[in-house]
Parts: sequence; C-alpha cells; structure tokens
Amino acid sequence: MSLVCEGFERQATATARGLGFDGLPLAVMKGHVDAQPYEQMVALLLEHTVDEVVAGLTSPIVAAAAVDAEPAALDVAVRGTIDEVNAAFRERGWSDGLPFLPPTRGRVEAFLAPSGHDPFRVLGPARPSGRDITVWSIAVNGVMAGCRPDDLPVLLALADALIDPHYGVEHSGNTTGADAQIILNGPIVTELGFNHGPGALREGAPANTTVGRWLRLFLRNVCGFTADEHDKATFGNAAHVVLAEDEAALAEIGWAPLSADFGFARGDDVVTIGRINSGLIIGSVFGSSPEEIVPYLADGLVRVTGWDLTHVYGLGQGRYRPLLVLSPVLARVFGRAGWGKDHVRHALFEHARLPAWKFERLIGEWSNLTSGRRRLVDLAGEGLVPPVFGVSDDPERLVPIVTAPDKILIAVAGDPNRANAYAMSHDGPHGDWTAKWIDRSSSNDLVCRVDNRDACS
Amino acid sequence: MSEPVYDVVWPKSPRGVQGRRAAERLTTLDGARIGFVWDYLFRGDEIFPVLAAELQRRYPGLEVVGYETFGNIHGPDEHALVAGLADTARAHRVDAVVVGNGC
Repeated sequence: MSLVCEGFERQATATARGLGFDGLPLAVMKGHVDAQPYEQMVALLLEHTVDEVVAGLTSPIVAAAAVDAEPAALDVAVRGTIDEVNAAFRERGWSDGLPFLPPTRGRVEAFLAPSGHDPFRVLGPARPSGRDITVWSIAVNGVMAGCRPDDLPVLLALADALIDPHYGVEHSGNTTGADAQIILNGPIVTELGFNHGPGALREGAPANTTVGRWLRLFLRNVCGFTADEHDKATFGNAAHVVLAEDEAALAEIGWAPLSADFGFARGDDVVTIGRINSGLIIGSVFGSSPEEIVPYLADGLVRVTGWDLTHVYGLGQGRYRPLLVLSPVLARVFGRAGWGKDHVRHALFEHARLPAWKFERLIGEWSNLTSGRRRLVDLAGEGLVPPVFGVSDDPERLVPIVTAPDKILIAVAGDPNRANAYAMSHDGPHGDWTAKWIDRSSSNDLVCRVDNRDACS
Repeated sequence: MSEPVYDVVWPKSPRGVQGRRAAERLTTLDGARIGFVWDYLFRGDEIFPVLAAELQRRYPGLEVVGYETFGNIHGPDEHALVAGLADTARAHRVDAVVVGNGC
C-alpha cells in the first residue's frame, strides 16, 4: 500500500492502474507534510493516516469501479462538425485547448500511407498509463497537432525516446512541472523546413510548432498526463517548440552538433529530448573574446540553477545537465579564438560556481529534496560527488553546478546576428537527455502484412 | 449551406498492461513483519518512525523492517532497486510493505 499527501489520490490510483494493480489501497496524509510544523504533521498522521494504513494492510482490496469500454482504434469516437468535435475532445480531456484538425480515419491513414508503417504495430509501453504506444496513436495525435506525413519519422523517434527508461517519461507529471525540450539535428532540419534562425524558440514556424505540440498531445492522450490522471504540475509551461540547431553555423566554426554528445555523427538525423525546469535569457552578451564572454554565460547557468542541484546529488547522481543555447554570433567568438566545444565547457565548468553553503541549502534545507542535510565535503569524502566539491570545509568555497565539464550541453541556434544566449536548467533523471536516430526510410510493414512474405526477407 | 460532419477516431490507445493480482491482505498485524519503502522525499525520515511506533503500540508483536534495508527507490539507483524490491522483501521475510511518500 502507498502513503500519499492529500491531493495525490487520483494520481496514485491512476499509476497503480497503469502498473496493473487496480484498487491498490492508499493512506492519505492530510495537507502537505513539507508545509506543516512537526507537531501538526504527527497529530494528523495519528488522527487520520494510521487507521488507513492498518485498513490498507488488512482489508480486502475492493475492485475499482468498472471503466467504461474504450473505443477501438478504428471506431468513430465522436461525430460532428469541426466545432462539435473540438468541443467534445476538450470536454473529455483529449485536446490541449487549441483548435485541432479532426483525426478522421481517412486523414490518419493518409498520414501513414507514404511511410509504409503498420498502423497497429506496438512500439512499447506508455508509462505511466500502461497504454500501448502504437504507430496509429502517434499518427492520430500527429494529425491533430497539424504535423505533416513527412514529420512521422521524427514522431516515431520521439516515441522511441519516451519508451527508453533512461528518459524517465513516467516522471513527466512531477509537481515542479518541467516540460520537454526537443532538439533536432541533421539534414532533416533544412529539408523539412524547421526554423533554426530568428525566433528559434517561438511558435510560428509550422514544423517546429506542430512537432512540439504533438509531444504535449501525446503525453496527454497516450501517456496519461492530465490533471485527472498523472499530471501533478503545480504550474507547468506551454509546450516547447522544437529547437533546431543551426547546422551551417556549426560547420563554419567546426563544432560538432549537440547530437554528437550522444554518440551520433555530423550528418545523422537525430532528435534529442530532455525536460527543462527553467529558462533564462542571457541578454546582450558583450565581448569579442572568449575570456570576456565566459563569465557572463557561466553566471547565467548559475542563475538558472537552483533546487535542480538535487540531480547532482540526491534525486539524481551526476545527472544534472543544463543546456546553453548560443546564438551563432556568440559561437563564432569562440570559433575565431580556436575554442572547441570542450574548451568552452571546461571554461564554463570553472566559472559556473556558487558557494557550498548555498548549494547545500538549495538541495536540503530550502527544499527538502535531498534528505539528511548532507554536507558536500562529506559526500565528496564518501565518493558520492567528485573531489572538487570537497576541497575544504569552508562554506564560502565555490563549487561547480555539475559533476564534470561534459555535463554542460551546448547548442547553437537563433538569430545569426544577435548576441544573446539562453540557459536552461534540467530535471535530471525525471526527463534525462535522450537522443534517437531518425529513420527516414520507408517501412516494409504494410507489404509484410499482405501475405507477401518474400518482399520482407 | 450545411457544415461538413467528421467521423473522428480516438486519440488514446489500448491499455496493454495486464491486470495483476495484488498480494493477499494480512488477517492481522499481530506478529507481522512490515517493510517501509521510502523514496527519500517528503519527511519520510520523520514520518516512518512515528508510524512504526504507533503500529507497534497497537500491535505489540509487529516488527518493522526499516527503509534503509530497501534503499532510496527514487534516487540514483531507482530502476535497479525497484526491480529488486520483491526479492529484498522476501529476503527479509517481509509480510507486507508500506511505500511512501507521494506528495
């Protein structure tokens, strides 16, 4: 049985169902324990919670109320005008609130047909809902989002990332409300018309906007991240549009694309996702040499980083990987000086530091995300963080925000003639950076389905 | 002129997960060994001792297997620890577990 704070009952019930344990008993702690004085918390536990713990351990499990039969993939779920269809989907929690294209069977089949994919192939499980991730469900939400059939390989690669346990999609409804940032690399950026230039992170370019919207719809409809089920975001954010890297600028200065950090080669079509807690613009960066601009960029990385440091040690261990997006002008400052990405990362690692006392309070006093009020010097002594965190026990000493230089990710995009940067914090194992190759070849699936096995060998 | 009418399909997908049978509930907590499994969040280090004391006050024969035995199920080793939970519980002859905290 599970202990949950008040307000988490629906999420706990839905999660249990997604794991196949319908009706798993809960014991509810009244209010939020982090906001209660100790005496009040204990009194509420003794008054309300302990009886529910005893009942949960000893009372027979009551079968959950039967769920209404759900439609099959090809069933007509709603029939109506475009306004009626939009209204029905909103009412049932199946849309993001924006108007969408009606996913008729014909439109979904047309979306899939050029690729040759079997619509009913199951790619893997959708956590935490326990639903199947099917090619059909990817396409239905793609149609709704306004994606084009050409975008399907990107959507399939994204779905593959959601299935990968390293990404941790099941955490996508955590209360701090991070949202996924998609990053695109490869020739596909220009061939499919993704914007990597001015307004790179603003909606408007159809490819960037609709693929970003698809992810939010898919998380809602297939993975189950709605307020009624798995989404406990206190605030959340609007869906992020796809960030496409400026591959030409990268080639000009001789930098590898971001996807190279995950083992891919320049020229590979790759999609990468990670969940972003916060973003911060580093505005009007002034300077014509790396030495002049590194301190300000590093300061931005420090300022965007707070409780997320629990992914250095606590909720994660060495899993905090902030992203710094440089405009091409800023990347060229480094390129002109002969600095490669690793050189930049080392410089940022040296400069992006904060006092040890502040680090410790952010993860284990101002927040309560790392238990035990651990001191960095002790963690370093136990080998749980690198030695650089424990060179002395002076609380004023400066410590890094990541465990190694290569934890800092760098991308290049945005207006090619402006000197701004964007720092993004990251939710560690609750949406860890995961990159997948985009397979743009046609599938033999449909050929294989029509009793023509020779074509599949 | 009448507006077009659309027959639209469902944007969700079937539940692939199979229903599982949860363990039988205990008939009594007298003499039971109860495991506490913690995600190392939301004051479990304060809550579980209170819970243990109250359960043992009500059921003097009840034994507790502390959360330290199971490790941090929401930390760096999350996937491995969760996969091994049942084995850990068996190894420590645990009759039932209380898992927390979801807040």
